[in-house]
Amino acid sequence: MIKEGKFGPQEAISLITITIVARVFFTSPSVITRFVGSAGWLMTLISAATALVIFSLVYLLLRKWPGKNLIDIYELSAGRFIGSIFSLALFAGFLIDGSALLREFTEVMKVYVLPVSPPSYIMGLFLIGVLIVSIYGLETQARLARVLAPVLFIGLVAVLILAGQNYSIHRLSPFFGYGLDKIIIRGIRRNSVYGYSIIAAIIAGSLQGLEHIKKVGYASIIISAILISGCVLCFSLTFPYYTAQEITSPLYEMVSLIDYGRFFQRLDTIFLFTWNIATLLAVTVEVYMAASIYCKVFRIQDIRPIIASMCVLTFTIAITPSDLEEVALGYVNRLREYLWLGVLIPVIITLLLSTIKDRKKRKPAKTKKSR
Amino acid sequence: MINIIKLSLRKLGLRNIKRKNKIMMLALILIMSFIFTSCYDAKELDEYTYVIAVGIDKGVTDKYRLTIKFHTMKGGGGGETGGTIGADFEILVIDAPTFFTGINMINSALARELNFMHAKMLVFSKEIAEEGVSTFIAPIIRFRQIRHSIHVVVSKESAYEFLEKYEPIEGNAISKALELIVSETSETGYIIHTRLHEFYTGLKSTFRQPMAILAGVNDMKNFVETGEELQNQYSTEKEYTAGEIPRKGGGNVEFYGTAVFNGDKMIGELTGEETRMLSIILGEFKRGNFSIQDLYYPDKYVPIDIRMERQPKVEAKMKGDKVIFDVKINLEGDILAIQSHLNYEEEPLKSSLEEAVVKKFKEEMNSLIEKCREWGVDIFRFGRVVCSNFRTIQEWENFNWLEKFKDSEVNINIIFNIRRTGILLKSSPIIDVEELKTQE
Repeated sequence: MIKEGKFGPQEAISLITITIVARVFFTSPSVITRFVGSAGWLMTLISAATALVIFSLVYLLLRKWPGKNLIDIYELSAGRFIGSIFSLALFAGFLIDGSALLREFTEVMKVYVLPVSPPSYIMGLFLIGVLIVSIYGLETQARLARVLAPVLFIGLVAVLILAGQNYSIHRLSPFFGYGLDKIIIRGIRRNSVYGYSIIAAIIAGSLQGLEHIKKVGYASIIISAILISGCVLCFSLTFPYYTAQEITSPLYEMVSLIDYGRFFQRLDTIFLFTWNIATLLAVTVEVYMAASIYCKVFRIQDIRPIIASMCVLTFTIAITPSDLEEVALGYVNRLREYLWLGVLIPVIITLLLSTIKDRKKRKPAKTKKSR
Repeated sequence: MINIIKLSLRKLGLRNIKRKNKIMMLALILIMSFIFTSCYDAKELDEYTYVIAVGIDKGVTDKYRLTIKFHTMKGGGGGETGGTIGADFEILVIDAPTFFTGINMINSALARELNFMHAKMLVFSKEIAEEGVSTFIAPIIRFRQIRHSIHVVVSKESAYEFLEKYEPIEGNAISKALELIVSETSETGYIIHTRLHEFYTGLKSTFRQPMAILAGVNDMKNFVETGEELQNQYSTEKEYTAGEIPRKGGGNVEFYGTAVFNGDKMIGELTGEETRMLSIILGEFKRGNFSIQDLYYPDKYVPIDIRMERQPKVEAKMKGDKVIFDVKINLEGDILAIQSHLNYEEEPLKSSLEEAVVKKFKEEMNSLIEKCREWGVDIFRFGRVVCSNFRTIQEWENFNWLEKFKDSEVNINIIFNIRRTGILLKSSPIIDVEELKTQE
């Protein structure tokens, strides 16, 4: 077993929330505007509600196997082979999603800040950071997230408040965007963004029991939902639905419009800082999770060499898409819409198998009693 | 040196690290120090030429005529040397097939690379604006260096002529002067503070039509030194657009009025006074001095400093496809002067003066709304109020507000209160002995 250390719910909530919220800085807000118009903020709340339901199922599963993490439970209930497949699905999800996030970050950086630097250079440097933070282990990541969370939160909220000069409540009209049906369907489909709450189940061994896992899972989804919905709402208040769909990084664009006289403008640099730190942590967590699952599945004791390999794999996958459109509308969009199935289906199957096993265990006891 | 490294490692608790790992760490530090020194995009500040304003005209030898006004960096922050105009800025014009090719071509004539990060103004010539700006705005909106907070201006003359004539009168800091002139003029309501963000969203809007700041070169010919005929025309207030203000001295260019667009084509101009009325309806008006004709002496005026008391409230009622708007405007003001010395500070004259202001504003606003209705353009952003009556974007777009605006009805309700009368509480008449004798 790899040693991942112990930490409290605050650290875990910070870690998961940063991993989830980092997505809002990139192309996602404008992509969701294409689907639901001005009601993106509402859609993401529906996604969060769906994610809460899915996490409840995960929690039910954890309750049936106290003291075990999700990877162990998959193997114990579905057997080594099927359990490993389920775990490897999770591994692939983290790896591909981490790569997509890295590439999305790189592309947005290239568009707005570093137009001349080659993507491989930006990604390479970024992955050095990811590698170093990952090697220090999960506990360090969680404690770092706890320390950075208030800074990132204040940075984000300050920027949203300062951008208030460009808000217009009328831009939220029509209230239901392209229709309530589309909001609900897209909301349910795009719940994957909150799916990182499953990290709480994977790192169950590092948390102090089921109550903490429950607290971490629910709290991180709720806090992330408030933050993401708030960001999308502010974005919709700044850009009407017809131009909102065109922007590469809506939040960055929103910040660049802040202008309070000659001496208080061009605040993008502050935003850039929060953006980079949050993305670094998010990619690190995903790479580490992929490495951790891999080690758990293949019973590898030392995670460090695996982390290095994961960084190389992440780089390779991230460099594969040919352009920004393929990243935003292909990789990222499809991952948001379908990644949750990779969690939900194994969890439902495992839950059913566990229930069947439970009943089988209880039956002989009952027959003994009746005799 | 080795001792220092040994000591540092000991301090860091890394004394027990194997020799091989130590070498690896040192190698990594060395490599990193080279990588982090700079990246591909690293450039020193003085390696750029900072563009202050961009002008776009129709080209003669090619599609675009791109004009840029830039800092020459010869005189530091506000130098006095260099440039054709005698300050630290220069103008450059080029005909090019596209905006970006133009930039590349200009770069071949300049030692430093053009940088638009600090550009303050985007100027379209009226000729281009009337033909349609969509082709010309496309590269600008996509260009990462041009901030969407840049001001959009339509120049009555060519953009080149406008930018060539523009130079700061007070001080040499041209970018500061540009920023100040726009912010100061928009506060008095003579221009609408239009940034690229508003202009571009207006172009694609289903709620409203875009507008831009109207600017022009003033050749000072409207200033008549003497002339009895003009002095006696006191019955109506004069209306001007940019370049027409009767003045002498000051800068060559002025920002005054509004260029109104339908889609991407400019269809008309609003005068400075009309722009003020528009600014009040939009709630963007801060404060400004208005000359109200004296109720008893038509050759005299009562200047009043008028400001918004609160944001205007626009309500929309729908009767079938017809939309009826109720616009409630609350204004307040201070009397600045009473040329006739009548006691407008007190009742009943005070109420009469307030009513006169309301009447004047209502008339001017109604005439402006009528003008825009004839043009078929909603520049009042009434559409966004109507939009809240629709549940989905499809329903809203099918309603086709921009077509319906022509048939809408607008009721203006103004409440105006005189709050203060300056440092005088009462006006007493000037004693004229001759006049007293006649009265007796």
